[in-house]
Amino acid sequence: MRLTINGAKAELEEGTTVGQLLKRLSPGSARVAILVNDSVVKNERRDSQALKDGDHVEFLTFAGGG
Amino acid sequence: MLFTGEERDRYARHLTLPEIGENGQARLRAGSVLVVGAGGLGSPAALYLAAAGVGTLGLVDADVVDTSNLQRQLLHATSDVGRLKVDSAAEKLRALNPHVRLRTYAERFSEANADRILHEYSFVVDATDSFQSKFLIADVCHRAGKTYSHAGILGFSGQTMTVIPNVTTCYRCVFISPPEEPAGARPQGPLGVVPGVIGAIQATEAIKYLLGVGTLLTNSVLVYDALELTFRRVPVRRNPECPLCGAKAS
Repeated sequence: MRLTINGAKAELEEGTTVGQLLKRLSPGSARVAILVNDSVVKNERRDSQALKDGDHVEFLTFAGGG
Repeated sequence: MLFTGEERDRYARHLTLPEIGENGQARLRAGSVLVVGAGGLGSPAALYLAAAGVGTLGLVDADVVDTSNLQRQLLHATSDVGRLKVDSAAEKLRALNPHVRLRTYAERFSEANADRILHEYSFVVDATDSFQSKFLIADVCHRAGKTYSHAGILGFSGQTMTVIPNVTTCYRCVFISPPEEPAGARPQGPLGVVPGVIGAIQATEAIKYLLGVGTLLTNSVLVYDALELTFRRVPVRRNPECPLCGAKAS
């Protein structure tokens, strides 16, 4: 299936979950907010929510500096 | 509404803009903005707001200037090391624009003083440097119904969003709760100019808000990547489960 991840086109196997994609892109990092189609995915749903063809996924890193 | 000859010269470029003109400049003069943090983000934000002629500017910071601040905190000079940041900042801002009424708060912004400080201002610039403070600003601005500009910096990147409480997506809609911070972790970076770019955007939002012109950076997070030199505006819907402004918020 084809998706957009952080604004770039990407191809993923069917059934990939949000959590699996996070592990692949940034292993060991929980310090991100994840959006699918402009909506925030709750932490508890990351491992159960499967991505779909055409989804727009965004990872927003926690940025605490100033 | 009347401006002196000196003020007409000072704001001449604003007065030629149809979006500002004399009425808009008077709105800026009647406006009040609180900048929480007189550091990397707060320096450019406060400098541009003072230069623009915002009538009342509040600055909150309990820290003193450290040599390591000078790489990015443009309000402070080498000779200011050891001084309170708000004192150092106020001196520069007064020198830049003596028409601005400056209020300084040499205290840490907290639950205890937030309401007392906030009520005098119509817009808040979150220029703090910790998650704890950023979540606190989101919470107290929500409670007080104050529009604010959030920003955060990390390395070569920065992000910012403007929030109208209970109307647009808020900081907690996106980030929900502070992340765990490893004990003793030292901040990495940032590249000094990154908060300069983001702080200037925060000042832009405050000015637009006071003028009532343009489109605010709401319902989206602007993500800046200095290494790739990209700006991306990431849309974010309000979160129905937001602990602050969601349907079940306490």
